[in-house]
Amino acid sequence: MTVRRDVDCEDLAHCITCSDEANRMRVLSVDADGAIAVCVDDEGRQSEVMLALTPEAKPGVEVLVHAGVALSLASRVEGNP
Amino acid sequence: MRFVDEFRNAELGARLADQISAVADPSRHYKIMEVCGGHTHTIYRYGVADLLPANVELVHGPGCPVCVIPMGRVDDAIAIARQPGVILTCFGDMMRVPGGKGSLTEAKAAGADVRMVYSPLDALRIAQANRGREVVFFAVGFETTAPSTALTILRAQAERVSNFTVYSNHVTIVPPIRALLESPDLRLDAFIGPGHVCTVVGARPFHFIAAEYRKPVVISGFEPLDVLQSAYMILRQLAEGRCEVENQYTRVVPAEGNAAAFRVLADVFELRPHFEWRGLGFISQSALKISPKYAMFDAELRFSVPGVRIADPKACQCGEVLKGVIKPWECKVFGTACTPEHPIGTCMVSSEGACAAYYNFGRLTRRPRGRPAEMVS
Repeated sequence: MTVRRDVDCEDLAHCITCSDEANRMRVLSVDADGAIAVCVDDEGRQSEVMLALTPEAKPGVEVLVHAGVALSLASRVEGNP
Repeated sequence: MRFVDEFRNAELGARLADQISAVADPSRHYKIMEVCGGHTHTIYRYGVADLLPANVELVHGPGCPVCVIPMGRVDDAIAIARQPGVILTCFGDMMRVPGGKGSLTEAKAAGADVRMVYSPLDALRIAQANRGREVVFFAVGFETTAPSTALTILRAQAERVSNFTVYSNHVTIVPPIRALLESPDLRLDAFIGPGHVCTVVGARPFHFIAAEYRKPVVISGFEPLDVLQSAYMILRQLAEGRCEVENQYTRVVPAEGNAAAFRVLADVFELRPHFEWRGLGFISQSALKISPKYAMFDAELRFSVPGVRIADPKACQCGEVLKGVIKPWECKVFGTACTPEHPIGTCMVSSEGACAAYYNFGRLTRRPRGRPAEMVS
């Protein structure tokens, strides 16, 4: 499986993993043992994501990803503005 | 985009700014520290500070994991990278952090095999593709990042990858906050709490700030309206004489954190007795080392690591910036000798660093107050 991100860590935007910040991604597929998913962000970039901390994540669900791990479901409850 | 556009809405932002002005006591000066570098980035990128009254000051804390790595640890990483057969992997920002003898980028230019990765899992994949080489992952980050490293070590063990090790520089957020609160040269009224650290650890570790130090904490999201709403919630607590830990980022942060992450961190790591933080000195039990149970994945045991200690450059005032004692533009070398292209201090390296964030979005003079141009309407 070839999944690669084309984020430039030296541009003014966040590097997906350099910071203490997580990025919202949607689960596209999950491997046979449910450990690793292929996820896509809102700009269509895909990467491998470990699901050990969010075993409830399934294809179509949005997760908050940091350093290759889904830390949380992205919309645990509705937003509050 | 759902959960993004509505949190950058300029009209809502202006309304929140009015509410903040209404609740802030004009006779009082407020200093609110955002702990997390991600918040610093948001504040500068979207001009959040420009929407606040003049007497509400945002102070930038030690929450950029790249910025707090001391120069000696960078030199140690370079020493590992220069050993024969080693591929050293790290996140992009770490490559430009200056050590005492240059950066990892310079070491790469001089022939060391240093590669940028986006996750520890990427580093493990490199190890699997290069069985004859030793692949080391230079791990940095707070509790948000440490689970990824821990899970990768477990995966390396399960997949029997013997040429993969981790040079752990993971740190924990609570000890430096306590150190800041004990610092005599600091006066803070409240904290904007680190939202994504809290997805892992929950809200409980921050209760001591309210209970022992009588400072409100609001755990915040990272969009501009999240930060504005958090500032409003803090000012409302102060106006009402309350000191509590509140969660503004309820759409993501569960109060109890992530139990699975706790378990994996406790299994793979243990606390170091002490660890040096750039600008803050040694702080007890503030960093994670790999547990003896997973010693075969500990780069500090597999390789000869010099254990270098280097004093911060005298001209650099990263320490004062990290403690919020001075603003980035008040540093003697900000924007002159120290720029993102040629950083002297780590705060100028990472996009999360207070100096880089201010330099990139605020430039060299303070912007006049007004409506930030980047908010969508």
